[in-house]
Amino acid sequence: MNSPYVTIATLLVAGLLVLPLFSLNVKNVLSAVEAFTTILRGSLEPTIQNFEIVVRSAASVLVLVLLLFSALFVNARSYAFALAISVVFVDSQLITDPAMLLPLAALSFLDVVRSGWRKNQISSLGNLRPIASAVMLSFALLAFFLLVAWLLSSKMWSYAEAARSLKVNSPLLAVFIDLFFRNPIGLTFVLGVVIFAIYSLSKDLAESLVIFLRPSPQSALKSLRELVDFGAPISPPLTSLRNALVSLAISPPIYYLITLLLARLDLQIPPPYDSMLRFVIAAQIFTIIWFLISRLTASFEEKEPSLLSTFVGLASVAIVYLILYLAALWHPDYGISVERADEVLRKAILSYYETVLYMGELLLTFMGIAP
Amino acid sequence: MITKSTERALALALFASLSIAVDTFGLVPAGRLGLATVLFLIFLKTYSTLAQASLEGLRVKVSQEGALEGRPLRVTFEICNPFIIPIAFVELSLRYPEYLKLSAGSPALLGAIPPRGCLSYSVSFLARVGEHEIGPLRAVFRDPLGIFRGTEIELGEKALVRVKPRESEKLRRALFSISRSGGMLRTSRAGEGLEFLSTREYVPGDDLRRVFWKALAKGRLAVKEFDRESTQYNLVLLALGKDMLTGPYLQTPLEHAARVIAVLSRYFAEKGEQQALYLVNGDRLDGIKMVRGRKGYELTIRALSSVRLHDLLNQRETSVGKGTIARELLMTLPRERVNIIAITTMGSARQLAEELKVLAESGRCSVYMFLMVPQFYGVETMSPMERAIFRIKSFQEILSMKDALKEIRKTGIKAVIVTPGDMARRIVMRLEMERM
Repeated sequence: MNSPYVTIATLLVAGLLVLPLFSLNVKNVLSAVEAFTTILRGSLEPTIQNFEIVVRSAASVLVLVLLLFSALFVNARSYAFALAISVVFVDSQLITDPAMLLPLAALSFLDVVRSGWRKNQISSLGNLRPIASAVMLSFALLAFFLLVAWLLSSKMWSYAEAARSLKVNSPLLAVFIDLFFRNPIGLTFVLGVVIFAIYSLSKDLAESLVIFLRPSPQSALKSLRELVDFGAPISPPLTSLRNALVSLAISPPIYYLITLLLARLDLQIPPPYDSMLRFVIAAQIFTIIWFLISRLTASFEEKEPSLLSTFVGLASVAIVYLILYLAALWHPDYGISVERADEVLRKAILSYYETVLYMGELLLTFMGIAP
Repeated sequence: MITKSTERALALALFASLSIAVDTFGLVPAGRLGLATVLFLIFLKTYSTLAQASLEGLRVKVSQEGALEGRPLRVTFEICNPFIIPIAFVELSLRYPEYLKLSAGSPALLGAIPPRGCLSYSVSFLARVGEHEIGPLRAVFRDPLGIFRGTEIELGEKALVRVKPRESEKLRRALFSISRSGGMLRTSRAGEGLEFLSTREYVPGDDLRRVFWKALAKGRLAVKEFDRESTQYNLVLLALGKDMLTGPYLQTPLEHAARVIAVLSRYFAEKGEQQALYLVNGDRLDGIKMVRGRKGYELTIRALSSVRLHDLLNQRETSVGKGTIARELLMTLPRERVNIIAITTMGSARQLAEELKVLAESGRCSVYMFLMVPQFYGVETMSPMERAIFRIKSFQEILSMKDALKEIRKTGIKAVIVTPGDMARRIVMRLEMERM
């Protein structure tokens, strides 16, 4: 049973926390009512602006309901929704207002305390000092996290803004900047990739720390039991690298055939976007082949690849090249030509790696790593 | 190690996305804030993973105080964090048997454990006789903002608590007043012993060491006679079943029986009697063989405090014996005559009587059966209508008990219906009569 004193105290604090947003929306509703009354009296025409007032006031009413709910049930989620609605319909500047953001964190904390604190728990604990010190320390940690997150995000955002305002001569680099930094979707994509990278890194770091600093059979068993992909194949170390190398070997002729096909179909994009498209095709082919190889070579037991599977792998690479070579060997107009076939094969390999390496270089240049 | 995000994480992620979106579309410069929120979530997730790992490595020490029926039984968990990561918060909940009543503290709480520090958590139960498993603690980590939640884990081991039955000193004294002697037991028959009984004329064959020298000095050849010492062999048989746990807290037939047996055992021990206790649970027979004195008492108390209430409550069938009890008992009985005192409730009385019939017929034992009348509590709080219904039901129950008693007596077992408060006296009276 929850403690009534703690419940009352948290309710009171929650009421105080939602007050700034509440009062803002009350003001909004009052002004809307005033405008509405004027329209009804006939002294104001029902225009689009007045319609907007009505919508805004309706949103404010919804916000007031949500805020009442969040104050009564100490609910941070409904506060978040109320804030989001207020940002969209009332004032977009609210999203950066600390007075509006602080209640979000405070309500979350209060909710944890309110739902977890039990009626007789003080008599069970006796001494509250350890709890107080642990909470203080964890709050210090949270503050540190917040600071680091803010600094890191400021740096990242400044970098994005700098890239946006960059004036470059290279047409390809300009396309690159337009696509990934000036375009909102591109920017979101870049941010998503960076965030995912940071997330993966921190997750792996935390899990590695846990596993290596304190190996626990209990947690290992729990992790294994809770694996979603139970029955997933076990891959020996460096399998991904092996598959990547094989994919890099298979991709060039396929890439060449696809670009040839696109040319035949007259599906060509004018410069400067063509390089970007070529790279996208090359990357896609590589990804698909990598995925297929990973699936085909996946086994449910951790074992070395057999001689047969190695032979089959090498044979498939050879067959792909052979198909390309044979296709280039005979032409309906010019007949059989070994030189032409050699040239096509050379071109196929070179054009693929050229595209990939060119984009790699461009990326390095943009990041400031390469000149 | 595994932490899951709650719905709050989703709300924050939505908020962050909104902030980034309004900035990228050039409405409000809130991109930094959105990005910072996402990064904060990532860091919080990292902290939660580390805290959850620390939670799994916590050291838990369990201690207990007081293991006497009716008194507070305090169980304390000392939870220590040997790591440098503070664990805030942790939701602790204690697993304990549903038949134990909490007298102080909370079975669940919200706590936090500082780095390299300890948290002490204690709860008190109103102790009841038997063996109880308390714990382990279940713990769930939650970050201070409730955004991430760890998986539930068990902390420490379960504490095995054995509660002794309460003994009434008044009843013990009353039992001695029923008995004719405070020390070793005597009979009115002459024999080998220590207590002087009388003198008689010498007859050839009498031991010369027993010649009464004072009488010889006066010219009469007489020998001293002593009380024949009689040691009884008492075997208490307690039929366990689900119905032994019906009734109010601390007033169930099992608890009454345990108190009676505890007092009887002490009485037997102080008398120097041989005593044994067997617990009949279904077709299982557990207990202690004939032992004399203090050791017998200690073993009896230990056996009573080892009754697993959880097993009794979860018992599927309540049948007693299946013909095996008598056979097993006959194999363990001494050559001397044994008083078998069977304590049972109405539920298993007939079946137990069927089992003990063989023993009663064997002539090696005197079998007594004591059927406990259910105690009636809380009648005064009932409405007149409820009281009337209750009275009819009770009357019917007593009538059926009387029928059962008649049937049992036909098997040669001396059966009586007793209230728990009167049982010990009735048993001792029976035993004293047996001694005559």
